[in-house]
Formats: sequence, C-alpha cells, structure tokens
Amino acid sequence: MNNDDTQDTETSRPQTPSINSQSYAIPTTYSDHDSIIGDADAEDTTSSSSEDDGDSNEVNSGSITPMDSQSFDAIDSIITDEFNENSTDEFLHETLSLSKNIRTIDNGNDIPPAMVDIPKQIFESLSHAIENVDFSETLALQTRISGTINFKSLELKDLIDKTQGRLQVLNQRYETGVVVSRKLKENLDYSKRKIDEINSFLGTEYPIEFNEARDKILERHFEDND
Amino acid sequence: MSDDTKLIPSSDDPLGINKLAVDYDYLMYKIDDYVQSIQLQTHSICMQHDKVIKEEIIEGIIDKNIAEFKALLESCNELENYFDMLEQISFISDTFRQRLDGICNELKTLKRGKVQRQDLRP
Repeated sequence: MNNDDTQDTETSRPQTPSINSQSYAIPTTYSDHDSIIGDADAEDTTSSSSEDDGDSNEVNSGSITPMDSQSFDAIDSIITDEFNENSTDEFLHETLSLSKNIRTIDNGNDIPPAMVDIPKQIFESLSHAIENVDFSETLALQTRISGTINFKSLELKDLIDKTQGRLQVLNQRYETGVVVSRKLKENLDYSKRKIDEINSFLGTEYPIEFNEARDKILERHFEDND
Repeated sequence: MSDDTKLIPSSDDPLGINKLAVDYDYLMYKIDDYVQSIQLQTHSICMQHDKVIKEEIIEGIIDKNIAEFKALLESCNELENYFDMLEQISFISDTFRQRLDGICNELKTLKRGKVQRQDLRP
C-alpha cells in the first residue's frame, strides 16, 4: 500500500529537471539496477513496471525516463523492506532512499549512513552561496555618500532660506532707504540755502567778525586734521 | 566539469549521484562566483559614484554655490550697514536743520533788534 503511494509520487515528479537533464542522465548502468532489483524483489518491480508504464521498457535512451523512476521505486522498495519500521514516514523514506544510493556508490559499505537532512543541506549551501557576499563596505560607502549629500543639501537649503529672508529684509529697507535719502537730500538743500543766507547776511552786516570767526573755524579744522 | 564526471566509473555511480554532487557543487561555486562579481561591480560603481559626487558635484558645484551664497550674505550685511549709515545721516541732517532754524530765528531777532535800535536813535 505504501509502496504504491510512493511509486505514484515518484512517477508524478516532473521528468524535466531544472538543470540540463542530459548532463544528469544516468549512464547505461541498468545492469546494476537490474541486479539490485533482482536481489531485492523481482516480483514487486515487475508488477509495478507493468502496472505503471507498460511501454516504457526502452531504457537505453540516455535520459531520465519513466524506467529510471521505476528503478528508484525498486530501490525504495528495497529500503522499505530493510527499514520496515519507518515505512510509514514518507519523508524519512525518501531520505533513506538517497542514503541507500550513497551506500551503493560506496561499494557495499555496510555501515548505514547517518541521517542527513538533504533539503536543509541544499538550502544551507544555496544560502551560503548567495548570502556569502559582503555588501557592508558598499553599504557603508553608500551611507557615507548619502550623509554627505544630505549634509550639503541641508546646508544649501539653510543658506537659501537665510538669503531669501535677508533679501526680503533688504528689499523693505531699500523702500525706506529711498524715502530717507529723499528727505536727506531735501534737508541738505534746505541747510545749504539757509547757510548761504546766513553767510551773506553776516558777511555784509558783520564782515570783520565774520572773517575772524571763519578763520578761527578753519584753523581749528586744520588742527583737528593734524 | 564533464571531464571529471566522465572519469567516474559508471558501475560505482549507477544513479549519477556523484556527478550530481559535483555538478551541484559547481553550480554553487558558479552562483557564489557570480554573486561575488555582482558585489565587486556594485562596489566599483559605488566608488565611482562616490568619486563623481565628491569631486564633481560637491566640490565643483555645491561648494561653489555655498561660497557664493556666503559672499552674497556678506554683501547683504554690508548693504544693511550702509542703510543704517544712511538713516543715521538722515537723523543728523534733521537735527542740523533744527539747529539751523534756531540760528535763523536768532538772526532774525538780532536783525529786528538792530532795526528797532536804529529807529529809536534820534
């Protein structure tokens, strides 16, 4: 019963592996398969092959064929006989089939191989191959570049904001400065006119005092300059 | 890869497990090598970007802009000082005008007094 289920799962696997099937084609070693199968239980294998694939006896194609899966099934049946107590565990069953194959490759090493979690090992080796790279230096470099750009961007933004504020203040001060400069010009013109009037009045009315005072002021002016 | 696997006697490896293991290891090696090359390319691109950003963009453009902005702010400070000076000069001219108006008033009173004295003189 369990053998039949295993056969169904084995035969329902995709026959085209992800890697080139030609490179993984089992070479013409079907005599060995046959011997193993013959040693185990010829009736089970022949019955299963006749039930599943009646016309798949062409085993010399050089690629994975349904006959190959039948061979797997035959080996599985052997292992099932040997490890009968674990026959209900399908996952363990599959693991043991691979272990049996390894033992077969080792030319009759009777020590049973240790329990190896093949999917875990494959996953770990794949993870090791993919995650072996160290992007920390690159990430540090990128972080440094990003930090530098951010710092410069913030500095530029701060300067732009500050300059815009200063330009607005200067614009207002220019508006007031124009008014102030007009008023200043008016004051200066007024003062100039008044001073001319005073000078002319004092020069005509009090010429001696005016000249003395002017000389005194000019001398004081030069003394201050010295 | 295939040469190595061909050397394995077929009788020892009926299911091609050894070949599968070798091919799997080679596949892992190739994946590792490819990922390493991606890492190297990423690192070199990052170094190139770092050089371009540092030398051309930051030193060539951004630092220049920052220096120009700082010079502009200095000019703004200078201009603001000139506006302060203008307002102070305007204040001085206002007080000077008031003083001048006071002097004119004194002169007018002096002139008026002189005229009155000449009128009172017999």
